[in-house]
Amino acid sequence: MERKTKELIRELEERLEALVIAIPKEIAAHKFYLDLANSSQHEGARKMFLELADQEFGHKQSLEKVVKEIQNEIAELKAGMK
Amino acid sequence: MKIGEFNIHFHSISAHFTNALYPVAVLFLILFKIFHHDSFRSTYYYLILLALISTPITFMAGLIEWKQKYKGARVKIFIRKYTGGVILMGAGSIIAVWNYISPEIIKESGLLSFIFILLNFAIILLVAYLGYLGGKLVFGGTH
Repeated sequence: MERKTKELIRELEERLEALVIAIPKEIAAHKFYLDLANSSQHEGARKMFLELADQEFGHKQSLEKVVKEIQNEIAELKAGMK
Repeated sequence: MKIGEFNIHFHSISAHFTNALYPVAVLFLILFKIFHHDSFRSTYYYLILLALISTPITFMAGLIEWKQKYKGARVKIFIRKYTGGVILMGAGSIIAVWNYISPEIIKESGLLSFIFILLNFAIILLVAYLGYLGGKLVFGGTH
C-alpha cells in the first residue's frame, strides 16, 4: 500500500514538474502577443493578438489551478503515510 | 532576472562562462599530461580559479531566477540543479586548494594523482548534467 502511494506521489511530482516548467512559457507567450497587439497598427491584427494573449493567460491560469490541485493531492498522500 | 523593463536571462549568460571554463581547464590538464609544458599547467590552474569565481555567481543567478520565474517551486529539477551546483562548488574548491597546496599532484602518477584527475573529469560530467537540466527547462523534455 505504502509502495503504491510512493509511486503515485512520484508520478504526481513528475506532473507537477512539467507544469511548473510550462507556466513561465505561457507567461512569456502572453507577453509576446500583448507586445504584438500594442505594436500593431491594423485594428483586426490588434484584436487577434489580444485574443491570443487572452488564450495564453487562460492557459497559465488553468496550469496554476492544476498545480494547486496536485500540490494538495501530494500533501494529502504524504500526510496519510505518516 | 528583471532589470527595469528588461528581462535579462542572467543565469543562462553566466552559466555559459562556467560551463566553458571547466572543460577548457581540463583540456589544458590533458595537454600538460601529454606535452609536460609548465605553461599548460599554469593555464589549467588559472582557468580553474576563474571557474571557481564564476560558479557562485551562476549559482546565485539561478537561485534568483528560480525565485522570480518559477516562484520558488520545490520540484525535483530545481533540487537536482541546486545539489549539483553545491557539489560543483565543493569539487571545484577541492581541486583548486589541492593544486595550490600540492602543485606536483598533476605531475605525479600515483593513486592520489589518479583521484585528482578523476575529480576533474567528474566535474565535466557534472557540468554537462547541469547543462542538460538547464536545457530541459528552456526547451522542455520529459526525461
